[in-house]
Amino acid sequence: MKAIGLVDTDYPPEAAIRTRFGWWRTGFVQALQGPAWVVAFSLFGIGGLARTSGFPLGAAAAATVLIWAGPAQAIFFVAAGAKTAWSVIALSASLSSIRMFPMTIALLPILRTKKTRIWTMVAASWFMGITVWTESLRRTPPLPREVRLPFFFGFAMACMGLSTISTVLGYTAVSNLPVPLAAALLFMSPLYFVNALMRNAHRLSDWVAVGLGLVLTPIAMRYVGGGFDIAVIGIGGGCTAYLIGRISDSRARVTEADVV
Amino acid sequence: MNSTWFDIGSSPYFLLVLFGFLPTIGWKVLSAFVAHAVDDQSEFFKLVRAIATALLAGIAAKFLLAPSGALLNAPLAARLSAIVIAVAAYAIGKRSVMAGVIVGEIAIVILTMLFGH
Repeated sequence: MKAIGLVDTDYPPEAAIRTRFGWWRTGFVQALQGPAWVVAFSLFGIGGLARTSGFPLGAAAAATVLIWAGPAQAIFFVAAGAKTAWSVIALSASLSSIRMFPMTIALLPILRTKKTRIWTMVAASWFMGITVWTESLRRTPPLPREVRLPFFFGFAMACMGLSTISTVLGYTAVSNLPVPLAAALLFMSPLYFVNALMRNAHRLSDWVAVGLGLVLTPIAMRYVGGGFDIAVIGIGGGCTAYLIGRISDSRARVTEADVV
Repeated sequence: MNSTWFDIGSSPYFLLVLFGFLPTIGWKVLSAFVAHAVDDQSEFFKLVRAIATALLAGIAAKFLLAPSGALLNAPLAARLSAIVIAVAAYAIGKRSVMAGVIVGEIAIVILTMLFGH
């Protein structure tokens, strides 16, 4: 089984004959070779937040499994610790999760087959997160369609499992980390996003979407603000990127037709 | 003080499920139902992917420009420099995300030690 030591999107020829469990395991192992550590690293600090706010260790670990989104978990624990009204906490956590909506719609159609049941899709959506999303978007399209979901579940469960362990470690760790290390924990998310978005960009529309997302942010933060700036950036930047990509595609098609 | 259902001490798991889990899982379940009807070759799918990509780039930029907690100790110039260094490592490392992430983490630790406050 040399197939286990895979990096990125190289798959062996015997791929097609491997079982679904074999593909689950391939996803699991690929996650442990890098991406799972990225999520685990960024969720380490959440454990500390949970303890400060007075939640027991089990609840800190359960939050990683149940909420499975660093920002929403941070909002939940920090606001609960500050005795914010529970309705406000629920609303803020919900607002920070709106991004799951376009992300999930942009990934699940790649993963499913015609026979996939809706509840399998709901189960897959539970595991949706930025790291799982970006990595699956790149790693699953080269796979045969039937094995994409097993691969995805293996990959996502490795990320969630390792992150739950790191949340527990973060809960029990010393409360005062050295400042550069604490800064490095918080720096992991934006650092990974920027690198992974570049890695995933292939078409012109991808690059325009990444570029607009980065450039529009300071402007939207200044003039839109609140929790709505990210929605404006996503919809404005995304629609523009899509249109530019579409125009360039149709130009390319016209040129091709001229040559023929 | 009498303990109630809404005290963290007396019912942490109930509060976590009601005010943490349910508000966030809602979007995921809703999107799973929508995704069930979307074809991955359709124009709508391409549009949603572009929106999700721009959204993610926006979140990354917002984390960098307006960070929270300990990352505030690293000045803006240090945060942006560490990103530029990371992107260079990514490019030199033949588009390796891990190369970018590891070098970027080392860069932010050193820059915070040198210029942090």
